[in-house]
Order: sequence, then C-alpha cells, then structure tokens
Amino acid sequence: MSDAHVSKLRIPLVPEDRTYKQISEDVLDTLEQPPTKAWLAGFSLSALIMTIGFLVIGYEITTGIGTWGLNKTVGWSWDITNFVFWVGIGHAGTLISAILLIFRQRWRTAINRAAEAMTIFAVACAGLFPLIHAGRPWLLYWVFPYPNTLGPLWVNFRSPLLWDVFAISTYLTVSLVFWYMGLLPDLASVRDRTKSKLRKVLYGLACFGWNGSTRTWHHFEVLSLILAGLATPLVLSVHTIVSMDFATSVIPGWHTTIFPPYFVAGAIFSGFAMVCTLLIITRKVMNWENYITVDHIDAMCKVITLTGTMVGLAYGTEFFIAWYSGNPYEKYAFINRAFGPYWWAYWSMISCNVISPQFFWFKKLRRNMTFVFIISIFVNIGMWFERFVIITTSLHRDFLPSSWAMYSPTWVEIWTFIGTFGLFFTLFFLFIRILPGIAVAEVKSVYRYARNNK
Amino acid sequence: MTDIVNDKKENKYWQDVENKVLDPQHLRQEFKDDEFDSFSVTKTRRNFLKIMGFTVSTMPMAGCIKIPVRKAIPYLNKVENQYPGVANYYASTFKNTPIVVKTREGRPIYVKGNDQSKLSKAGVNAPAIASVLSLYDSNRLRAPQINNVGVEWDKFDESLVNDFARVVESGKDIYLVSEEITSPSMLALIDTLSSRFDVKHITYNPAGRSAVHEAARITHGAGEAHETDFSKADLIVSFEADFLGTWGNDVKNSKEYTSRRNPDEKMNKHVQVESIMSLTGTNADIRYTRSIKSQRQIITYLYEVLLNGSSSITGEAKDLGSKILKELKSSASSLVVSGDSLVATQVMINEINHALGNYGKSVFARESKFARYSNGLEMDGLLRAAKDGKLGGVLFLGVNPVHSFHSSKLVKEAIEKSELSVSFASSEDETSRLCKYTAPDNHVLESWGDSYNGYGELSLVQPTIQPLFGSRIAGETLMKLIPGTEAKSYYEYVQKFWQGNIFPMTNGSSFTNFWNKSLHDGVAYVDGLFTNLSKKNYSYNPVAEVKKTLSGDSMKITLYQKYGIRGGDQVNNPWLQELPDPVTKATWDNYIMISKAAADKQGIKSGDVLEVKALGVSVKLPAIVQPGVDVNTLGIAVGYGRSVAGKVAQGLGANVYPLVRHIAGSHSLHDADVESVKKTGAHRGLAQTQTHHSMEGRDIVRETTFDQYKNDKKSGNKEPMKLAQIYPGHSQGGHQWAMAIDMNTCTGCSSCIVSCSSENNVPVVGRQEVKNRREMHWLRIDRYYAGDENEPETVHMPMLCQHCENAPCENVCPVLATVHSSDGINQQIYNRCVGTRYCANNCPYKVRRFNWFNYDHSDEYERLALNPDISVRHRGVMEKCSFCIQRIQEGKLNAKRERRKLRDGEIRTACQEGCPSDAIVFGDMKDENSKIAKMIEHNRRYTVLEELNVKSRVSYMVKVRNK
Repeated sequence: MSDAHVSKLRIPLVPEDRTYKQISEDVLDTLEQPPTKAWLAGFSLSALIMTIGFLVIGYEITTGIGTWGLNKTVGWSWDITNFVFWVGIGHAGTLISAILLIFRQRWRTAINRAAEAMTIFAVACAGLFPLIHAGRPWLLYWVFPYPNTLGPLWVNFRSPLLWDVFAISTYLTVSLVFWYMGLLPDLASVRDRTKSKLRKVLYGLACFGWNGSTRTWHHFEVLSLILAGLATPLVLSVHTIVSMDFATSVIPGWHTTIFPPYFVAGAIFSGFAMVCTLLIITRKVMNWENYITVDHIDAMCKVITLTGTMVGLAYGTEFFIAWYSGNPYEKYAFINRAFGPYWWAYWSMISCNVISPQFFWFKKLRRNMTFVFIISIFVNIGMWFERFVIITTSLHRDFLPSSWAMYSPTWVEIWTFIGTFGLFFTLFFLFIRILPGIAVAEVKSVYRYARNNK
Repeated sequence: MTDIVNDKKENKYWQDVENKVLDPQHLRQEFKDDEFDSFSVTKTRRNFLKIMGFTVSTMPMAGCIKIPVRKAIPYLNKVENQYPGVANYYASTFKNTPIVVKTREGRPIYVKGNDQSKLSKAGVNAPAIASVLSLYDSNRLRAPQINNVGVEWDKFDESLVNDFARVVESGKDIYLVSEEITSPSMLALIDTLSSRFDVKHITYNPAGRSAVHEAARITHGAGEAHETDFSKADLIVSFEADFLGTWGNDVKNSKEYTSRRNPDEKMNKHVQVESIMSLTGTNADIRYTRSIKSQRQIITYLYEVLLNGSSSITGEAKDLGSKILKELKSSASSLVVSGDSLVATQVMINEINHALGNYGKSVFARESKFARYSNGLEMDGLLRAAKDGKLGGVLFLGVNPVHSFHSSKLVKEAIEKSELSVSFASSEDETSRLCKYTAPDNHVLESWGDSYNGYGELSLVQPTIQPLFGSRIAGETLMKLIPGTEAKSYYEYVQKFWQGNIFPMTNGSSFTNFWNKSLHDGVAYVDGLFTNLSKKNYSYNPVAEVKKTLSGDSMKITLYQKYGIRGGDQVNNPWLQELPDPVTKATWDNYIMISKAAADKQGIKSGDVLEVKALGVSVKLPAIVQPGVDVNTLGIAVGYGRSVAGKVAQGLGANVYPLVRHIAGSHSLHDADVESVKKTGAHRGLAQTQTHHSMEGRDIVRETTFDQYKNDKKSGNKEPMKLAQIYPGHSQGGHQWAMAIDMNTCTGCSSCIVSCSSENNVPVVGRQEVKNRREMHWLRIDRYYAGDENEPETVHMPMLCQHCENAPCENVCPVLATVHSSDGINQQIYNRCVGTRYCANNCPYKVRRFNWFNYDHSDEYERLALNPDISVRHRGVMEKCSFCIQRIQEGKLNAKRERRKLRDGEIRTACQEGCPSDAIVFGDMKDENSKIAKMIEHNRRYTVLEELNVKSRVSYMVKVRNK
C-alpha cells in the first residue's frame, strides 16, 4: 500500500510499540501453535450443531417440505427469512474490503480479512436455503441456463428467483476471489515462517508461489483495485435483487418500490452488526485487541447507527405509503403487521432495529465492548425479524380472507436454522486456525505511517 | 396370465422366449441350420478365440440395446366394446339419484349425473360421486362370516338356510330391519319373504324423514310419499328443513330451487327459520335463527290461524308467525316445509300447505307400492318381541342399529336373544360384529337392482364391475331363504320382476326393447307408478302433541346430518371426510355447534372440548362457535363415533344417536334436553379449511337485491376497470377457454369439490394435514358471513385457478414450470416443477396446492379409483386446477376425428358435471354463440380482484337476494 497523508490528529490505527516482526508473530504464531482449549471447545460445539443441522436437512429432503410448518397460504417463511438474513450478513465483508478500499478508509485493514471470510461463510449458509427449500432439490440444477437436451425448456429470465441465482453466485464468486487474492501475501508469510515441511508445501501451493517482488506487489495492488471496483456494485446489486423476489410480486406488503434501497441498508446494517459480534469475540479470544481496536468497533457502530436509522425511515415510509396509496390491501397488510397476530414480531423488529442503534449516538456506549456486543446481537435478532415480518405477515393474510392462515415453525425448521449457525461458526473457527485472520501485509502498510506521523 | 392357446390343430403359440425354449420340437424347427454348433468351444483354439472375440465385442453392444418395454395388457381375447384408453359409460342409480358411471379398462373411476333423468336432470351430489371410492374400500369383507369367522359361501348358505328353517319352524318372530326400501324388486322379494315365512319388515332410517311419512299417513291415509316441487313455489318457507343439503332428494330439490333463482326471470323468495346454520339456511333470502321450540310455536300459530282464524300463541312467535303468514298469503304460490322430526309438526305443515292450496301444485301426497319409507317407531315392536322372548330371528339389511339406534343396548340384547341374526354389512360394523351371520352385500356399483325415485321415475342399477371382494348381492342371499325361487340370480329376479310388474304398465310390445332401453337410459317413465291421495278426516290433535314438547326452557340439541357424511353409511370414505362442511368448513370430525352468545357465557372458544350431558348420556366433543346458531341450541352431526369401522372413520368424533329422544310419538332429533354443558379443559383443534369468515369489507363477492336489480340491471356491480399493461398479451389460439360461476345458483353444497378430486386424482391428506392448512383440493368454496352474528347473511364463492391472462404465477417460476397455453389456460407442468412455491405465494387467489409429502396411493384397491388420464403428482410439486385439460383435449380430438367444429357445451369440466344447480358454465369465449360468451357479456358479470389486472378467465355473476 502506498503512503498517504493522514491527519496528525488521528489516533494511530495500530499501536506504535510493535515492530513489523512482532505484528507477523502476533497474527501468524497462532497458526503454528496447537489449538487452545477455547478454540477446541468452540469448534467442537459448532461442528456438533452443524452435524445436527445437516441430519435434520437430510430428514427434510428425504421426507418432504411437509416436515416444515408451511401451508397453502404461507409458502415461504423461515426458509427464505433465513436466506435473506444470511445474505444480509454477507454484506459487510465486501463493503469493508471493496467500498472502504476505494474510499481509502485505512481503518478497514485490520478487520477486512475476517469480515470477508464472514461474508463468504454467510453466503454459503444463505445458499443452502434456496437449495433445501425447493420441493425437489435434486432437480434444482434446472435453474442454471446450461445447454441441455430438454427441447425448448430453459430458464425463465423473467423470474426474480433466476436473477437471484445469478446475483448470489456472482457475489459469492467475486467475494471469494477477492478474499483469496488478499490472502496471497499472508499465505506466503506463513509459508516462509513455518518449520513443518508439509505446511511449507501446502501453503506454498496455496500462495501460488508468491515471491514478494515489486512486480508481484504491483499486480496485487492493481488487481485489488479492479476487484474492488467489480465488487462495489455487487454490494448494491445482491440485496437489490433479493429484494426483488418480493418487490416484483403482487402480494401486498411485498409489492413495494422502496425495497431495493431499504434492503441494501438493512443488509449493511445487519452485516456490520454481525462483524461487531464476531470481532468482539475474536479480538478477545485471539488476543488481537491491539489490532482490532476499540476505534474499529467505534467506526462500525457509526455505520450501524446510520444504516439502522435508514431502515427505520424505510419502515415509516412504508406505512406512510400504505396509507397514502389508498390501496385497501396494502393498508390492511401494514395494520396487520403491527397489530395483527404477529404484532410481537413486528415490535421486536422495531425495538431491535430502530431503537437499539440509537444508543450509539453516545461515544461512551460505542466504546463499551460489552454494550456493543449486546446491541449487535439485538440488531441481528431484529434483522431476522424484519425478514420474518416481511415474508410471513404479508403472506399469511393477503387478498382473499378465506385463505388466511397462521404459520408456526416445526422443530425441523428451527434446527435447520440453528444448524446453519453451526456451519457458519465451524467455518469461522477453521478459518482463524488455518488462515491469517488479520491481513498482516495491509496492517503493516498502515502501521508505518502511523509511526511516521507520531 | 392367460394360458397359451391350446389348440391342437394349429401351431402352438408361444408367448415369450422362455416358453418357447421349453419346447424342443419347436426349437429345432426354428433353427434348422445348427448354426450354433460352429461355436462349439471344444473344437479348436481358433474357434475359442473367435467366440471370445465375439463375446467381448457383443457384450457392450448388448448392454447398449434398449430392452423393449413389455406392455402387459391382459386382453388376449378382447372384451367387446372395450378399447384401452377409451372410457365406457353405464347408467346406474345411487340412492334414488340416477347416475352415469365412467369406467376405464373395466374399472369404475368416476360418477356423474344422468341427463336422461327428468328429476335430477344430470344433477348429482357428493355422496354419489364419492361412492366410487367406497367401492374400492379395502376394509370391505372378503368373505361371508359365521360368528365373525370367514367361511365359504356354500357352507354359509347351508348353515344359514338350516338356521332359518329351524327358527321358522319354532314359530318365533323373525324381523327384517332395513333402510328405506325404494327398490321395487327388493320390496317384492321382501314381501315374498314376509308372506311365505311371516317375516316382519321394518324400515328404519334414524336420521331420515320418518316424521314426514308418518304425518302423511295421518293426514292422507296410506300415503307414504310426501313429494315436493320447489320450482312451483314463489315463496318457500322452510322450518329447519335442509332441503338443499340433506332433507329429501337434495339433487332434485337443488335443481328445482335454483331453476327459480334467475333474477332475469321471476325469482322465488326463500325464508328459512332454523335453530342451527344449515346449508339451506345460508342460501335463504331471509333467515331467522329460532329454536325448535320457537319454530313449533310459529308453526302452531300458522296452523291455528289458517284453520281456525285465531291462535293461542302470543309473543315473539306470534309476531314472526304473522309476518310469515302475511307473506304466504300475498304470494301466488308457496311451499312450506319443515325438517322437524316431530310427527305433530309435520301434520300441521301438511294442514298449512293444504290451507294455502299448495297440494297438487308444489306438494303432493302420493302413494306408491314400489317404495316403503321409514317409520322408526316400528323398531319398538322388535324390541318388545325380544323382551317377551318371542324374537327368533333378525336380519339387518343396510342398517347398523347397534350404532344408530338411540338405545343400542336394547338392540344388542335383541340380537343376543335371537337364534338367528344376519347382517348384510359390506364391511364390519357394530351390528355385524354381534350377528351370527354376516353376508357382505355388494357395493351399488357391483350390483343389479332398481329404484323408484318418486315422482313417477324408475331407474335401474347395473353393475360396472365384478364384485371385487367376496361379497354377494343381498337379494341373492335372501333368495336362498326362499326355496323354489325361479330366478337363478338377482339380475334375473330384477328382470323377471320388471317383465311381470313394470312392463305391463307400459304400452310397449317387446319387453327386451323396453328393458334394453331402460338399461341404456338408466331411467324409465311409466304411468301409474303412484296414486294421488286426498286429505282425509282424522282425530289426531297435533297442537296437543306439540304442546307436550314445549314445556321447560332448557337448552336443546339439534341433531343434523353433515352434507357429505349424512347418516353415516359412507363414513369410511376419505373424500367425504375431507370434504369441508359447506357451513363450518370443518373436515373429518363432528363437533358441537354453539352460538357466540352461549359460548361467551362460559368463555368457550372453538376447539375447546365440551362435555354435554343430555338424556343421561355424556358426549365429549370439540366446540365450534358458529354464527347463526340459536342461543339455546347446540347442533351436533350424527354418523360419527364409530367403534367398529374402517381405518378412516375409526375413532373420529362421537356417536350422538343416543341423543334421539322418544317423545310425542316420534323419534325426535330435536328434543334432547341439555342437562349441562361444561368445558373439559381439553382442546382439539378443528381441521377447518377456512378460519377467517369475514370479507373485511373487500370487493370480493358482489351482491344486490332483487328489487334493486329490477330497476337497475347493473346494481351491485361496477364498471369494468380500464387498465394498461406493458407486455403484449399472449397469443390467442383457436379456442379461448373460460368459465363463469353464477353465485345466485351456487348453493355452496361442495359436490364440485368431490367431483374434481375424483377426476383429477387429488390426494386426501388426512385430518392433521388439513389442520396444518394443507388440503389439496383444487377447488374450494369460500364462505363469508356478513352482518349480525346471530342472524348473518352468508355468501358462497367457488374459488379455483382463475387462469389469469396476466398470471402472476407464471413470471415468477424460475424454470418455466407454469406457462400459458395459446387457448388461454394457465398450465402447470408437473415434470418441470422443482417446487420453489413462489407461484403459490404470488397467487392472489391462493389456489395453488403443493405436494408437501408423497401422498399415499399405495392401497392396491383404492388406487384403482385413480383416473388414468391424469398423472399422480410427486412430492415437492405444485398442482392446481387445469380446467380439466384432459377433457378439453379429448373433446378437441373427438371433434377433429369427426371433422366437425367443437360444439358449445360438449366439453364439461368435472366441477361443472358435479354441480347439481348448474352454477358453472364452461366453454370457448371466442365462440360468440356460446353460453360462456353470453355470460361474459352479462351485466351481472365481474371478475374477482380485477384491479390487479391479472385478467382472470373465471367470471362471477353478482349475487341477487330476493329480500
């Protein structure tokens, strides 16, 4: 990374009492040492939950969607709620690595690696739901426009679900490439530092023979910018398209033009909350408090407050339009949301998403790690409820009252959802054991002029 | 498999290679060259390699050869008039309703009405349509039983005949208890039995209209048939009579009633006074919720005023009575009916109709020697004989009194005391369990027989399949008891009976022609089947009898029949169990209908299990808080609570026949005094297909009143919206299919649902899954209430796939599994569906049905009822109404083959055929002269949720109430 002038008033992003060597050691030594007990416990628990989750999914696929609580009126509920929830969480990573890179927000360097990893794991969890929610998942490859011998049968380009397929797969691919490319110099460091021959070979293969030459660094920098440029519109497009699953339908409560910006704001909101949750744990567990500092959390809290307020504005706008449009179905859908049988879900959403981030106006609270952790959990819960409210309360009472029905999840759905947390944390635990959890090379780049500007 | 044709003169035909190889003679002839010898491995090394090479190279080739599918069509000797894939139709009769049975490859799969019938006019009801599934009920007995152990028929007959002869010799009484006998030949057979052996015949129908027949006996002498014609009445006043549902011949009643519901002609007016909400009540122009007691007072008022000029009745009953009387007097023609099971009430009704001059116009007292109707009171004779030790034998034909008689203990004792007890139950029931002999009767679709449907109509019952199980038609078993019966089979008996008794009444010259024509048409009209009766003088005092029932103010129980299950003889039929009740929309159960006011008093909610004590009996059933139920009345359906029944009915609901009360010379279904109603604390959620009952002020069902309509033909309707659209429309092919549903004639009876399920292999999902809101019906009847909870106005709206031109389901499917055809049908392609359910979510009408599981079609008998033209859907696939695409296809092909244009009305959808009130019209709207095109032009026509611009192809006609 090239030098740039940074205000002298700014608090340095990395404490100055460290040398380059120490930075490498702080981050990379954990990879060389045997796993700690805390790690082992966390990993085993996550893996157990993940296993239960997959067994439950196996049961569902072999028996039928009937094992869920869905019905003739509510055709989607927890499945798609979870899908949108996880996709939303997957937003922060790319935003941090791409958009903040382009905006030269240097503070991102310490957290971008973990955030990107989180993105990929969240998208993996998200991707599971469209697959298993289908009645015949073994035929779901039909959603890909592959050349086939089925005559005139191809995909329906008018279907938002198809757009989803493209949006999610593109996002996953670009995020994965971006993340992996960022890993290359650090993987090379691991290769150079390790004493184990096997590790040397494996990390050597994984870093594609990184040699640290200026030429290599040059390519790296250029590619970073190109990928950041590619990824930036994706941050907006993915959730825009996910929102179109609903916005392009005719169902009151879904059929809303506000959805794309509203969903993107919500996604960034939930993504940052999830990054906070994860990093507050990671910095503690991995002893990275010097790198992932309170300033980082503070900055992320500001983003959370901004996006949370945007989301709150969107909620208000929806209600206003429901009244202003004069559409009786729309009006009813929103009254039903707030005061119908699922009122508790709606008000949980409002309190978690609109009220709780307002505490972050206060610097003291932003810098209180316990408080931030709690609020970040609330935001995650609230954002899950937001999707539940949108999907379920709109469906369960639509146009013809004769079909109105209630929905409640079965143990299969509940365990499937818990299982995805198992999957997410299993992947995350593996990640911090196997790969450098902080972008060492990038931190070093900001470290130097932090010191220079002393 | 059929054996190889064994004709010695000709070559032996071989059926497959294995068979052929078995015959060395043939083998040698076929392969004379001994060419296979050259492959002998023993000869040379060179040959060995040759064979090796050959084998190695041909094996992969052989592996690539597609082995031809061997089609197992067991028609070595083709059955006459039967072509694989082509349906045959046979006329028959189900319980006085002439039907046409569709058979495919020899198995009946579908039942519709017979258009030759002047009574039912192609109409049919749910029990008749569903009967085809009862035919394949695997719970039916496989063999006759002696003491509940299966035996051969020969052994059974020998033992039965000996026992019968012994009892006859002993001089003790023998009773034959049967349901209403409307089969002339069966009646003759029973009469022969009676005259030869002094067998006493009792007809008994616990939930039937015995009071009506008994009253006719009192007022008109020997008259047993009390017949009505609803089409002849400008004003219909019905007290408690569910004539569109379960009272009398509902198919005929519906036809007549709805023929007068066209607001462009002279529309009838229907006033209903009832204690619980009935299907008929939901259709009334004016409906009053009144207890049975209050109804009896009103009827007494009408009776007294019409006959004596003044009445002793005062108060509220008088007010309503005079209001009704005023209407009756100002009406040119009228008809008053009552569903009360009290004989005295029915006597008064007869007098009221007489005083209004309705006899001979809309109501008829007729006697026919070809039918014998129920009079439950005769059961007392049997029980007395048992008590006195005079009972020698008892035969139960088509009845199950151990379940359905109110004091079943006495019936049990009677069976135990009699030396000979025979049940003709086709599957085990409570009565057959106790009887020494069980002679399983054929299902009606396996039987020969005949039926006197009343009103001068005879119809024949003909079998459409050989008996599937080891059953035998009851008539044949009875014939065994009569030595020297000329006929060898019951078929012969029926034919001889017609030759001897029916044919002479015609002017025809050839019996064969008459028989063949009757069999072909299914119906026969012969003069002189009944004699008209005039009112006679009698000393019966109905007012005094009614007064006996009016004391006390306790809550009463109204026992009623559910539209599908009726008295309970098809209780083991899954289609009928899963048919939502037209009023409560509940499936699979019976329950206690309670008014909101009464429920609120005790904090009762729908689904709370209540314990009701009445007549010393305690019944525990879930409550359903139902609008339109009298505050002092509980309504419970009969037919449930079977202790010995098939797997479907077992353990469902509770038996409330013990709540029939013997009072004022009647077996009353309306007079059980409630001692207490208590919440048990238990909860049993009801499996309802609809749980929200208000239209929420939305523009879904449009309605107007007759007076307004007469002034303004567009009243109640709105101008069609002018909406723009971005995309070009679909290409418009030669036909454009559309449907119109007249909500003025739709009574909400729900027969169409059963018809649709039968035609389209719609799976039955069971109680729990209906409770989970996952019923699979492609067609449903939405029922909404409006107004006061005590006296609500009700509307029924059949809702099915609207085949939108701009279908919201079509654009959201990622794999194009639902697409639009050029003839305007929204098609669902099961093979292509991956099951995202997006289409169902985006359907504003919520008519799409998802296969949540693989629904059970494994029962080897039940699956014979599947329609082979329709695939059975796999789990994970969406399905919905297809406008009966298979029928459209068949109709188009027929027209093409005959090189003609498709005729309007030629293609009928299953729901249309199942509708007894002709509310559904289907056709090509591009054909200007078609009925559907005219309906679409009609000023009452509209489409639901028009503002969404989905351009629905199903139109509805504004409901017009004559109030």
